[in-house]
Amino acid sequence: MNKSEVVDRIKGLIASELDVNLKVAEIGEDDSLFEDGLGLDSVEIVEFITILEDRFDVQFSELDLTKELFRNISTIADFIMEKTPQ
Amino acid sequence: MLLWALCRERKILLTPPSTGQVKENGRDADAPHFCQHLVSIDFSPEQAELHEPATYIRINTNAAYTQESVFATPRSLVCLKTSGSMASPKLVMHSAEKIAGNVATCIDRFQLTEIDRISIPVPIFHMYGLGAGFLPAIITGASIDIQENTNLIKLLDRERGFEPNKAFLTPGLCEMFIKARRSGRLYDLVVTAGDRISESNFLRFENGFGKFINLYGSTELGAVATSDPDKPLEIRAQGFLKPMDGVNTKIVETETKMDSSHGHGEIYLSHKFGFIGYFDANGKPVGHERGAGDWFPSKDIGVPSPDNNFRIIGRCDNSVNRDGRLLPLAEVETAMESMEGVNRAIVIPHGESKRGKGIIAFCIPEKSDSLKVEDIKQHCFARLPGYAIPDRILIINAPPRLANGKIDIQGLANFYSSEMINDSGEKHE
Repeated sequence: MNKSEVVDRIKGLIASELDVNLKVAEIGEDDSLFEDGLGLDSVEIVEFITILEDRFDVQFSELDLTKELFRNISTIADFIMEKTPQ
Repeated sequence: MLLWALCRERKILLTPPSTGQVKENGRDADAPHFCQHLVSIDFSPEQAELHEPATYIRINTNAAYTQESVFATPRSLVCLKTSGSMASPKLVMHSAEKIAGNVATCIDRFQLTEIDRISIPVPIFHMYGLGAGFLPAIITGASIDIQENTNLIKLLDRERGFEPNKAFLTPGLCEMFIKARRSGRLYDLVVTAGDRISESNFLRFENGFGKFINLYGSTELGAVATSDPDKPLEIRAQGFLKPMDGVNTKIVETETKMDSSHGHGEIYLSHKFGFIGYFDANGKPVGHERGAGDWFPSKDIGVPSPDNNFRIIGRCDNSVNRDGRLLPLAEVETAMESMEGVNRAIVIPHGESKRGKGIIAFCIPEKSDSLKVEDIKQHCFARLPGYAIPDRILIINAPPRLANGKIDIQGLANFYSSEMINDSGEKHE
């Protein structure tokens, strides 16, 4: 998968599996995940992490769970690209 | 700031942050009439300087203030508002002396010292964050990190800089740690309060993150009991609680028929450092002033243990009659949660059954699609009497949740419709 495909898949997961009432078209890859953007609350953030781990077969270590990595979909896609064999 | 205010003003009201609703006449919708000033903290001002309180603390005059107050008393008073999760919020008045006594019992129980670094990502306008976390920490001279509206990512970011050795968490945050935090920080102590935590989650949390204890208390009485830090993990995980110093307990059987072989009954508490009484928004007392020896009905059902400890079974108002016996639904939930793979069980009354009130159990698995209804039923048969077996068991992979992370039990009840849902919790169209 290239980055654009990873980004699209993450958008799809947010729209379909999280309780955020957002359509894929409303989700920007540079939007903040938190209250100043997509508005994922504390419960949805954890759901999001476990869904990403499950669907992309990656694991976030404690050191990976940072504001920088979880800034937006683009930064998460970069991490997944780095961890996933191409 | 709070201590300064206590010393200077002597009468302090702590309430949740204002909703921002201001009535047409300029009155704050949330402020009782006896409050002269409203103090709030702006957590995110751009120009905030830690050593310049004026840059982040706001003090406004309450337009609704009336001088006809009952507080013509030399006593220092602290007023807290109940959360309102069980009924309408009430104003609860404490004397500062008794708050200080309550705080001392927490310092002793949690072994707080000035070298501790304490993370408090819970609201400090409620008794848990204030009386058990913030005040004990500040009085011992410990370093404190207070966070508002946090989530796992923000909390871990703060921890990297602050490096706490003790923490006061909600059960929701504990569950987030268990679900998504891989390499655990081993705390010296983590305290949780506010919601039931299953035995399996208790074990998992302590094994991953360090010593774990549960606090039982209320706005009225402050800290009442905790898991005994000196007892082995297995005992603490089963929910046994050791009363704080100054607390007496008695368990009184209710009038309803009950299987008394277990010693179940409503827990009554007296607390040397309990509240003075309830007050209305005008500052007038509601009911009589309470003494240290008065018994307070907790509305919780409990069971005693031989060493004068006790265990909470559930709420009095969350029980049903089945086969002529009172069945605390939390007891059924606890039995179901002892099954491997069950993260949480919620049992609600629904309709009638051949045994009396009908009950339905919702099981939330640790991993989606990892449970079978038949296996859960067999597990129940092995642990519960016939009258306590749920009439129906549903597996719910993604339960509805409230904004604070707690499971929306009312939402689950509304979701349920016997004609519309199969055993996997999926709706038939």
